[in-house]
Amino acid sequence: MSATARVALAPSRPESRHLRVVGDPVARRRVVVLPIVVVVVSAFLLVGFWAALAQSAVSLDSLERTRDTEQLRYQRLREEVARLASPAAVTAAARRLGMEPAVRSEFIAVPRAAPRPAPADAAPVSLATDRYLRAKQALGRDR
Amino acid sequence: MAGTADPLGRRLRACAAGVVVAFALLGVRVVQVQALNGDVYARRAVAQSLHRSDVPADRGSIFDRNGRDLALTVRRSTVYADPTYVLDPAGTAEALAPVLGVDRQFLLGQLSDRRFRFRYLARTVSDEAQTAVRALKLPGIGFVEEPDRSYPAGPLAASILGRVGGDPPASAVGIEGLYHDLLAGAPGRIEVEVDPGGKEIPGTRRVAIPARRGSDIVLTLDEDVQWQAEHSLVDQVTATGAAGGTAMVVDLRDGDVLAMASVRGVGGRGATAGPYDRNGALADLYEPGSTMKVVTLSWALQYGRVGPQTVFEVPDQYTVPGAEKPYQDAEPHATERWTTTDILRESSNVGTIKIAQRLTNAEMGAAQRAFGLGRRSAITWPGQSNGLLTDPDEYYATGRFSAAIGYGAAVSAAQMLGVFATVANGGVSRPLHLREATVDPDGRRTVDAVPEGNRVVSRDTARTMTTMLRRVVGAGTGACAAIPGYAVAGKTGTTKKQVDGVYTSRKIVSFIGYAPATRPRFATIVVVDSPADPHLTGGVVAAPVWSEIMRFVLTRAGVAPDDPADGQFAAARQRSAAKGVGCEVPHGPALERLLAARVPARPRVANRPAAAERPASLGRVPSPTR
Repeated sequence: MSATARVALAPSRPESRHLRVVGDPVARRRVVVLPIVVVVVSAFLLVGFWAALAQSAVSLDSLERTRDTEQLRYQRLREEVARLASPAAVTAAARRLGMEPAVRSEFIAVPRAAPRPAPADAAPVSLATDRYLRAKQALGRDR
Repeated sequence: MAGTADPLGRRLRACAAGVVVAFALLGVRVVQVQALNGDVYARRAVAQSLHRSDVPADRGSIFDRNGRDLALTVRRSTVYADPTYVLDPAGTAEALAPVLGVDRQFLLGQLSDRRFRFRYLARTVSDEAQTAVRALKLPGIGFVEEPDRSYPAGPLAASILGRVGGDPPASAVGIEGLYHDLLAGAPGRIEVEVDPGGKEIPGTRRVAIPARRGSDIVLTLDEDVQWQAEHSLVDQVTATGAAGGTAMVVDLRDGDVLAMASVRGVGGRGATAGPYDRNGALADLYEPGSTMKVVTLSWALQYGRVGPQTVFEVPDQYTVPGAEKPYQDAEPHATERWTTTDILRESSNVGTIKIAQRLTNAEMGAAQRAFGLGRRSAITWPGQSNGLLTDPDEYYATGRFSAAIGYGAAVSAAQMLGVFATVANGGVSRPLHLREATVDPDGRRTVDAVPEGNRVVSRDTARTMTTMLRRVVGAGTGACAAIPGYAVAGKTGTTKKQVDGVYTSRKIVSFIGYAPATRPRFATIVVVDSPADPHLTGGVVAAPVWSEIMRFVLTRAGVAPDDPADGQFAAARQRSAAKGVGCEVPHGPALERLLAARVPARPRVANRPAAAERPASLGRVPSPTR
């Protein structure tokens, strides 16, 4: 069969050959734009996440450094306190202030109740009470 | 034509086959590398990119009973050099030497050694030194942090704590050595990725194994009491030109050791606390002399062989049957009729031997063992000796009597303190202990169990002995131990010192006692080794130190005085004055004046030649004791 015959047998087509139905342009744009937006937003989110992560890491490093520094400071201060509070240091400081070791200790037996002034003809007060009064007297004089 | 093949097709097929073979080989290699040897290469990759380093664990602290730091670990800067970056080794060494306090030649050697990229210059330097070195801005000089062991109170209690660390590192001794495993903790490990140049890639550091801090140890020591004990002992050892001394204070309520001082004399020029590796109270043995009379008399009282008022006829020398030479009292005296109390008060050897004649050999040996002699104290301590007691079967003619007056036995200060602690504690032994608790890294505190004591003598016997021992201080040889406000019970001891098995003119003098005598709270021993003047006795050398330490301890603990009228103190001072004995330990300017005026020690003059020159072997020879 020749080519002419084939053309003749073919069903006739409408003449609107240069026209075609197109889809909704908005929908088409949406199809294109949406993935782009998703990709861009995702990229930004990813970058933001990594930035936040990096920032947190920096903050964490900084906090760890601060902790180490404070730990070191605590150790040094603790050592300093222990050194200054050691008996040898306290004794040396006391001597620098002009203090001397006590020659003897004075013990005061405090009477059960506050001593009332004794009448002139009363018996001498006990040794303990006497010491108490002397100590009180001395304390008053120092003030 | 069948014989003419397409040459292009053939070449293509050959190339394709070659490519296939090449890829096949590559595939085989990939399988080999990835699958078969994957682990090996993975490990190699990790090894190349990962740098591991150990993180030292912080060592636990050592505290006294009040939570004050006796030893702690502090991180300090260590100065190092990378010699490959050092431009001018000589100039750098010159600049660093005065700042670091290190020899310039040593620094120059370290800085010039370009075989290594890390050389220590100075370890664990002070903050000031670190700042000064930084300010110099020298190329090739860097800093790393290292843990450093610190003893804030300096040499205080060094013989107990021991030492660890330092440069060169000290061997761990004392508490540091004994509980090293507990204190050391477990080191950790960090891993960090490095670039091909070996530099750390930021942000890749991770902790593989965290370091676990060591446990803390809480001792029963009281830092202030320890200082007072060392202070008093050091000055007395210095003043008397002694070879050394030991003091130990114990709380009778629970056996807590509050102080344990070991002092070493420095050739008559002074004394120093320490040494670090020798705790004299536990490790050194000596013949206790007259302090042993407490054991003899307690046993005689306990078994009813004597009473406190039993009268004996006491000459100043006495030869026991079978002995070659007489036993002698320290000072000549007329034959006296002394009670048991008088014998103890005057520390009469002859009187004590007469009392010992009422005991059997077995009883004498049993008495010493019952009081804890011949076995280690309850304190855990390396190198602690059991001591040495003569077997009663080997007493022969004189052994029992020598043992009764404190010869023929080698004991530690801790053991002898235990004897007096038993009497003070109403006849029940009071085992001593030094470690109060441990605190693990999580803060859990585990308190050590306090060992139980056992009854050695009856309460009545202990009470009687206390009454008799009060007389020793109030009117006897221990007058210098008296403390104003408190009644004191104690005993002096003076023994000749053995050197290479031969008794010499050198003496070991001691005083052991407790206070307040009516309600005993603390017991203390003071032993001074070889005062320069061989005539000095325990009552003159050790008793004043004892008194000074105990006065401090009683006041610090707020113990109410039991003799507010100073009855015993006044009587004791009267006796001291009558004997011309000064009872003060010289300190500060007084000590300096004494040292300045010191004349060479008198040549040895035996007041009793027969006794002084007596060579002897352990356990066979009596000697003047007091």
